[in-house]
Amino acid sequence: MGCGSSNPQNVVEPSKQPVPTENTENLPKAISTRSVRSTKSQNAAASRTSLKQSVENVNPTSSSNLLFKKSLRQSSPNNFKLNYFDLTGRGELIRLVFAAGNINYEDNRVKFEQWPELKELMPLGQLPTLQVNDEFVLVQSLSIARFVAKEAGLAGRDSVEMAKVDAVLETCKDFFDLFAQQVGPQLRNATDEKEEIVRDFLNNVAPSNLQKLQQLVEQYGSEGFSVGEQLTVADLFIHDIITNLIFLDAFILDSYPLLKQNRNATESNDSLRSYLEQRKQLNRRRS
Amino acid sequence: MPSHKLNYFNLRGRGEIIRLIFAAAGAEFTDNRIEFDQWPALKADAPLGQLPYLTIDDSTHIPQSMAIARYVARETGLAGKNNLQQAQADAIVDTIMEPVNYYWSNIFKIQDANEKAEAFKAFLVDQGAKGAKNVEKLIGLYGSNGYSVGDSLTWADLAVYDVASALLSKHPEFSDKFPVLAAVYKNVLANEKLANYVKNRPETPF
Repeated sequence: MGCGSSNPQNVVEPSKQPVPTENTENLPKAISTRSVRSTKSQNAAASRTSLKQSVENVNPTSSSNLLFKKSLRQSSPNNFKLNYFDLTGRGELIRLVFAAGNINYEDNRVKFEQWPELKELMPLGQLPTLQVNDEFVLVQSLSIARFVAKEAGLAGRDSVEMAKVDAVLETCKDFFDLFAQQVGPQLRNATDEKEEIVRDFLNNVAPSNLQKLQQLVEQYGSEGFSVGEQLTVADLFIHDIITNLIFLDAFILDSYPLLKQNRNATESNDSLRSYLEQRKQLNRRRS
Repeated sequence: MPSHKLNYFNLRGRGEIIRLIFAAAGAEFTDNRIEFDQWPALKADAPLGQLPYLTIDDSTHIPQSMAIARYVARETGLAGKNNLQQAQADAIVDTIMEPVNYYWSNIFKIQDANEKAEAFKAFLVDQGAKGAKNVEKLIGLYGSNGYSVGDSLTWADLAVYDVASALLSKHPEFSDKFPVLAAVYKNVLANEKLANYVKNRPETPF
């Protein structure tokens, strides 16, 4: 499943406010809280001390950073709690990394009614945040995604690969920011201009950005992956963006064969595929 | 360490953070400053047709200033001591870049000098001040004693320095308004190698 133990506690309240919309991914049709407890309870006490201990034995100048990943993962399972709205938006990439990495975490989906009170407690008054071992709060969606990717071994296998992964992530971020800025508002509250705005985005903004991604995939990747020859968080961000675009144009990848191949390669990850299937089912139940 | 060549314009802009990291660490690199009239002929060499890009061992090319900076920080031991600290440094830099990117996209491009000055003034008290407060909040959470993260120099400190130094020359009141950032700025300048680099770097309009 990728985001829970074998007996997750799923609390799904019936939809109170059906919102008429075409895009089920980004709008909260069911205002619900789904809190999937991780299996951390057995290791809660141990994880805090072992994390602190493991940190001290690391060589900070090791260029591959494999020591870091190893030391954190060898300690008892860390306790992760993701706080984000019950949307995909800027939180979904993090969920994809947890899923593909098959790491347990608490997926705290914040209801809009809860938000004003919770906002005061979040360092920058924003979501997503990631609580680690009840001790640290991380902010900024991409930084959180990169952190979780490192924990999961999905950030690149050595320092140069990590740089390539980052180059793809930053290129995705530029694209995602444009999407959020230009199309986002229309997805939340469609106006008469929606069709024109979407068409303008698809014709004038998306192509150059997709070309850039395709270029990097060609330069850095093999076996369909964007960097190196196995799955990284770079593939997951590409996947997330394309999912958003497919809602606007189901055939968008027809013009980008390398990205189509990349999407297939990404979905060959079993725990990710399982998560995506679950996500599809949940959206079906809501509509 | 592999050999590194930074390819960027003869400006600070989006490339300077990378130069500062190399400088603070005392690490060697080739600082390939490209003049505007040379650029069209060289554009095809750049991975995404953009600058900066970093060339590693004459063979691998990395675009995206933040990806380059994070890689160089990692190579020089300035990324953060463990995965968590690295995430904290990343988050601080992300937060600094929000108003910086806004500036590049919306203010910098204004042609009319007066309009630009007005827009910049408004930006300072709005996005600029909000961004600065947010960065101070994170430094309060993650750092100590004039360090943004943990208790030693990271590239997050250098990113604070890069922005602050651009501002302070024209807006000295900035250090009173944002004492936490001012402390980081001062701390960075205490790094001899960095101070030396800044003293000797080419003067450029931005």
